[in-house]
Amino acid sequence: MRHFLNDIEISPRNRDSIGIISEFVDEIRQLKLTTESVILPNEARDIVLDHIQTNGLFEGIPYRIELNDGITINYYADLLSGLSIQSQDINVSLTKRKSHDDFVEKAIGTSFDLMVSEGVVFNTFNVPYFVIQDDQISKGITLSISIYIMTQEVIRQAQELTEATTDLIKAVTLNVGLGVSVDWGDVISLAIKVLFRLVLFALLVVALLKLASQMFVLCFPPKRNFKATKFKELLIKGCQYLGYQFESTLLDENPNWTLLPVPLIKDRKSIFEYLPDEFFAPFNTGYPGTSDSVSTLGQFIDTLKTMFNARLFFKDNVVRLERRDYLYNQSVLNIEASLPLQPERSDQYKYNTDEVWKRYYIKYALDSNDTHSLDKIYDFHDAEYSTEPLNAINNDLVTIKGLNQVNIPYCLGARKEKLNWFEKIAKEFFQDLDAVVGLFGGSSNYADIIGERKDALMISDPYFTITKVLYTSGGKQQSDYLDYISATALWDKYHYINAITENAFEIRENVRVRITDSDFVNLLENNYVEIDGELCELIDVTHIDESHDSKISYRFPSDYANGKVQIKKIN
Amino acid sequence: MDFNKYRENIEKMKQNLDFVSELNRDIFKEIQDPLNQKEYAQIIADTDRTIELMKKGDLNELHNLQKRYADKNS
Repeated sequence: MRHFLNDIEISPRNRDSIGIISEFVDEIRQLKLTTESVILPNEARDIVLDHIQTNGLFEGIPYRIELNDGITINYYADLLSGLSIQSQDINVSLTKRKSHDDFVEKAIGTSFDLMVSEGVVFNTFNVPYFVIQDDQISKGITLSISIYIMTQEVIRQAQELTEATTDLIKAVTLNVGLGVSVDWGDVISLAIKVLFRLVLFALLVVALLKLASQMFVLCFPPKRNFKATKFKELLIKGCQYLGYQFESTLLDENPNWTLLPVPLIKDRKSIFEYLPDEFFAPFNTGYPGTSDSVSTLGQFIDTLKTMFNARLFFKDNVVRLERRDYLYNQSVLNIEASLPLQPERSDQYKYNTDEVWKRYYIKYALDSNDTHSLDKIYDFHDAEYSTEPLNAINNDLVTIKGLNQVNIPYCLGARKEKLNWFEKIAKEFFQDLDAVVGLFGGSSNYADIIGERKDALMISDPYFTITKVLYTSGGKQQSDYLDYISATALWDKYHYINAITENAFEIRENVRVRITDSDFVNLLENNYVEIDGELCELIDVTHIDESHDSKISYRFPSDYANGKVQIKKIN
Repeated sequence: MDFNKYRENIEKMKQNLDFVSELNRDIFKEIQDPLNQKEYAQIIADTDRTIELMKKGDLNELHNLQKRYADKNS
């Protein structure tokens, strides 16, 4: 193993103990050093000090390790982490360039606002929505009373106008029929009465229409648009910004996952100063900001790992988000492992019982500012499973325990599928209003507008406070969106592999293996290997080139849970 | 709320208005006295105007008409 600092070959004081370790469980951390830091004496120390003088602490120094078979691994000396300067030596910690740690550390501090301020353009799209407030009953009562009063008054005025017209007709026709002269004074007086009634009727009709149109806006705020972005778009642009490419078969297979940021942006119109139909610009940016459930790329990725039971996989310059067992069945390497306890030449293993859980609870956040998230959609926001013993002899000795809670910091968005009772009542009234308008030569389509109030997102207030996840196509959630997005769907697609019936293993640790440098590098791309004819998952691989010492920890498939427990869906 | 009754009333009213409009013109033809003729011409013009204002939704002008004919009607 040869070491190069800024392309100059050096010899760290602790080179004999420096190995390389790759960990694959929880987080995939490839090619970390087995030591906390490298100790750099003499010339290497001077290189570091020169760099600090010239470039400062905020830019790392390239560090390269060369193995056999022409294998090169690029690191950098991170001067902001673990730097210690002594009279003779300098201790620096190394981070792999373009690696999990490098990416994650940068992503966690990279906000979407920052990316946008530096020219990143996220392809956002419109998500139409209706505000369906939770005061439908009071609105219904108000509308009903108003409709009743207005209608009665119109009917009364219409009757009086009819009577006045009848009087006028009588005044003309009776006199003519009797063959006596017409009293034109009476006729004119009655014609004036008809005209007066007509004006009153006209006033009432116009007032009714104006009131109805204002009431319409208040009761039925127009369909407006939020801006949203697909998960994959945020990840592609975010990774691109950090110098990586992003790929994901998980999101390719389910491309409609959409993030709807909260409608809390500065310099927007106040909802208390304007009528609902006076807002034109969307209330949000379409990408997550400081008021959202996540505001940085790293936070966003963490939530997706939780949601999808996923991990980040790194290969070359490509970051992948995939379900944690993505590499299963892609194995090519066969490893001959020795027995764990070499001196005794005996086997030693333990079961992965720390992965047994009694309760598995997947839960989206609920937003008290959006009553719809507490309404029908509530039924889909969580899913609960239990590991139950089969055929236990002494139930009090059953030791299955533990809670595995999957907290998703996003809220589901409710789809408005049909008209509600209030809209149905109002639609009937506005149908007649449209007819009245048409009767007098005008044109209105209030009833049609009410009829179209469906097939879109619905929220109960113009503002909500928890970022929503949607599953959209053309900006709308399709009728089967819950098949993709509900907590149960997340279990069925991504989390069921965490059931102990699917996830039982024997764990063997620190098992010596004979692998070449090339094998070691190949293992970085796929941590599933064949051992003793079974596909096993490596937990970690340690390779110390200087001592030709390689060790692995791995999970060997087991059937210890089969027939002993079952997974029961609680809700 | 009986919306059908409401619609029937409005439709009857529209028919009445059309009828009144024709009736007014017939009456006008029978009036000989120039003063009455002049007054009736104004009634016809204001009737037509009322219907126009109703179509336009001009509440202010309708209010003005209402004031004028409230005095005459009383």
